Amino acid sequence: MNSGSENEDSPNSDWEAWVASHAPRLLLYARQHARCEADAHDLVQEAIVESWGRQPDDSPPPLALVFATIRRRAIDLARTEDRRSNRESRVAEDTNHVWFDSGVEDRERDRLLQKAMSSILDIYREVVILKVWGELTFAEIAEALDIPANTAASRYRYGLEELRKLTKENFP
Amino acid sequence: MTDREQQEFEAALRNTRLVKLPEELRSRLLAAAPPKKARSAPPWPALAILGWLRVLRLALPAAAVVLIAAVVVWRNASPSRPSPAGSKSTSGVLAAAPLKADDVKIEHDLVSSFDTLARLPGGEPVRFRCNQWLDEVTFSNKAQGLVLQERTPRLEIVTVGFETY
Repeated sequence: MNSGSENEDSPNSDWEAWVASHAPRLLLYARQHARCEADAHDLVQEAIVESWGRQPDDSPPPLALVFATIRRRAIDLARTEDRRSNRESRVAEDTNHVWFDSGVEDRERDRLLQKAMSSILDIYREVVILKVWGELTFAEIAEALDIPANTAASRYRYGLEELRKLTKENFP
Repeated sequence: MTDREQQEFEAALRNTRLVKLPEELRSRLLAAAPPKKARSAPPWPALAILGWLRVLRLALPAAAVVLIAAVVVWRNASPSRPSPAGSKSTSGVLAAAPLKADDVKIEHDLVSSFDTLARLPGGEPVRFRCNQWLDEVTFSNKAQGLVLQERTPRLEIVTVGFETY
């Protein structure tokens, strides 16, 4: 599990490096669960601070823990504000924020990938994001989502197949 | 989709870079840097207690055996002492005969078993299984109608598993 580096002499630069390295993938995951971009930002910040606070020392928290915290907080938020029923459609409708940026020449491909990601099932998309961009193992995904590792693996494969069908022309 | 196609597709997806963090969120996160914590956390008292329990688990049965042996030796040594009244009492008769157990029983009864949870300094839950045993050692001499019984309660704590997420 990638949990970053630690240097006693420069805690701020370590923190900055950790944020730069991991916050984008956490934000991508938070966007899948949040009603709007502002909620996603709040989820990322609260989950990082909470997870880091639970560490016994200054070491960065495991990414799986931060992902799990984002998910738990998003569910709590949805329950509180009765937003859960609209979550799936919201993700598909939220096209104001781009998820990928591979460069000008791949912009169209990135847009189609985001569209394809938005159209696959929530449970598949979640696992694909955690595996591909979150770089978690199936065991870590299973812990983060509270599902068996085999289920995580099969959801990943189904999700990839769906994505492959939808993006076949752009990802030969 | 074959395994090879899947691997190629995964590689292509991984090459898709995520969009940079919005500056507003980046600023918020940098401002929310966690304060440094003390390096040396105090030792967890429960760990010391568990260590002592492990020692006691071995020491208690040994102490019981030593105690029984001491009683037997003491009973054997009693006839050599002069009787204060000079008369043979019932206990004196018993003590005069060499004490030899013709039956020894050692039993371990499981009184109860339950699970309990504790937390490591990092907050990770760890589950223990606690077994309450009653160790019973019985020496008997049917000829003299003598029964010596020693019962020792014992608490056995076994780590079942670390439950992390």
